[in-house]
Amino acid sequence: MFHPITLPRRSPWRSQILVIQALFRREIATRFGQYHLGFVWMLLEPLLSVLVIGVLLGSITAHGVTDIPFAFFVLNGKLLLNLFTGPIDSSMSALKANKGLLIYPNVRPLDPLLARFFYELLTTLFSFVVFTIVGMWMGIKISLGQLDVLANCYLLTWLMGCGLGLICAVAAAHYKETEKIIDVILAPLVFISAVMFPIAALPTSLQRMLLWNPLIHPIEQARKALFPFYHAGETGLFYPFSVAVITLGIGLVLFHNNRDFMTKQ
Amino acid sequence: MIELRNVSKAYAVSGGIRHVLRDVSLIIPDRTNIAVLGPNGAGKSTFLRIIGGAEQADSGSIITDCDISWPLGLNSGFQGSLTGRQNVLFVCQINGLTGDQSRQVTNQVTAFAEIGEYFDMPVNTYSSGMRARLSFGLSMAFKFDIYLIDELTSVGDVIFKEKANSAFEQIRTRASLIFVSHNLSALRTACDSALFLRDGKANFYPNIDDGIEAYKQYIGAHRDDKTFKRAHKVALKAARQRQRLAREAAQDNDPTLHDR
Repeated sequence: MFHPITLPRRSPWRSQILVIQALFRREIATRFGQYHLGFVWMLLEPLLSVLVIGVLLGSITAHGVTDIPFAFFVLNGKLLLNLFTGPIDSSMSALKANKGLLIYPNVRPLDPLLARFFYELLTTLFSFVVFTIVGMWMGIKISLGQLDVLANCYLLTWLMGCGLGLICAVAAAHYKETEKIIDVILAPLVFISAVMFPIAALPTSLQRMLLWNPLIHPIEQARKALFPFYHAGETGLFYPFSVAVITLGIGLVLFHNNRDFMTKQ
Repeated sequence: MIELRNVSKAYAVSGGIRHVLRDVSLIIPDRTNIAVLGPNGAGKSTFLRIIGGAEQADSGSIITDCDISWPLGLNSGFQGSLTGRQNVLFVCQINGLTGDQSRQVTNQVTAFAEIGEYFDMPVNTYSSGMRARLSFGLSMAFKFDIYLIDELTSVGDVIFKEKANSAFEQIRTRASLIFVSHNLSALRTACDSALFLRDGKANFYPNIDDGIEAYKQYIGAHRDDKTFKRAHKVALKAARQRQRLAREAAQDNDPTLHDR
């Protein structure tokens, strides 16, 4: 009656990759599985949210960033902002949403979070590629000479989001309020991260203050990478790099020490 | 064979720490079906999760040369918003099975579970009996040396119970069970030996009757213990409510699958 299959033994590394791939597919299936053309929606969702902001704000604050069309300017900032807030938002519910699957020994408690982090990264990168191609096709003079700087900007923004996401996930397991508080904190980020204006357009005293926001650095540097003439003020990548390393370190240690507690929620 | 060497496991509960295992060293032989006994809250499910590798012990090591299944329980193993088929494929994917193997697994699960069109509906629409069928069918599609079963066969209709029993009979020749249940008569039919868990200690009894005797003595001695009584009462209430919900869910969802 039964012809059972022997489960292959695999190295921990290979097994972790398989698990993250499967969780990634599961993420797509539950987020878009119930729609027609689900895969298209996966790409359209970030595009639309960015477009709405770009078009709305573009018409309100139509002051000049010379040589960069304002919508494209905002789109680039908003993509990085999404790459930062995405992992934070989605990490807090990751374990609850995958609780039943943690019973399989291959599925480690960190894996659902990693799958969601990669999901955010890949969807953002895809949106970026689509935007850039459309932008170039429309005749915007985009420079592809500094793709390494650009990659660093995206990577650092993502890593900061992941580090803070880990910390928030642990905090949310202990204190239910965390999710609401984080929502409130993240909402004004769009105004203080140079998403809609270049930092160089602000008075110096205000610039000093905003430079403490680690997110402003990769956003401005990414624009500079795409438009070499762009003036990115005193931003640089060392500060966000340090923030990424520190938050990831703290996040991983906190998560490791709380993993039993968190999976019991 | 599974060997536990100085294994400790504790977790925080409101107002203190509960020790599930406290420096336990133990050898669990294979080729014998083992009933896990213990009062409510002794940590039987946690013990299964540790053996199955889903949870790490705080200290000590667990050494085994066996392929051990994940614990088959009612509330775990499935992602509720995915369909039964998607959940089965998930397990195939995390183990890196080929397309042919995955198809074979899916066919065997559908043949065993017999849940019809529900196989392509989200698992959170299932009755507990259907969940048990799916969970059981899925693990039976894989070859393990030891199957861990956590109260799974306490729900479900007569047909499922018969199927489960015949599956137990069949795997007896090549594998063994570690079985958590509060139904002592079910344990007596399925198991040869017993493992008795309480207060962070674990004892193995090669003969199940000795284990049940020790368990009953323990319950008898602690029955008047105030804290024990209270904990037992709470756990019993929760268990009753679970059963009631399961029964209602089964009747609501599928009139052909009454729990009997």
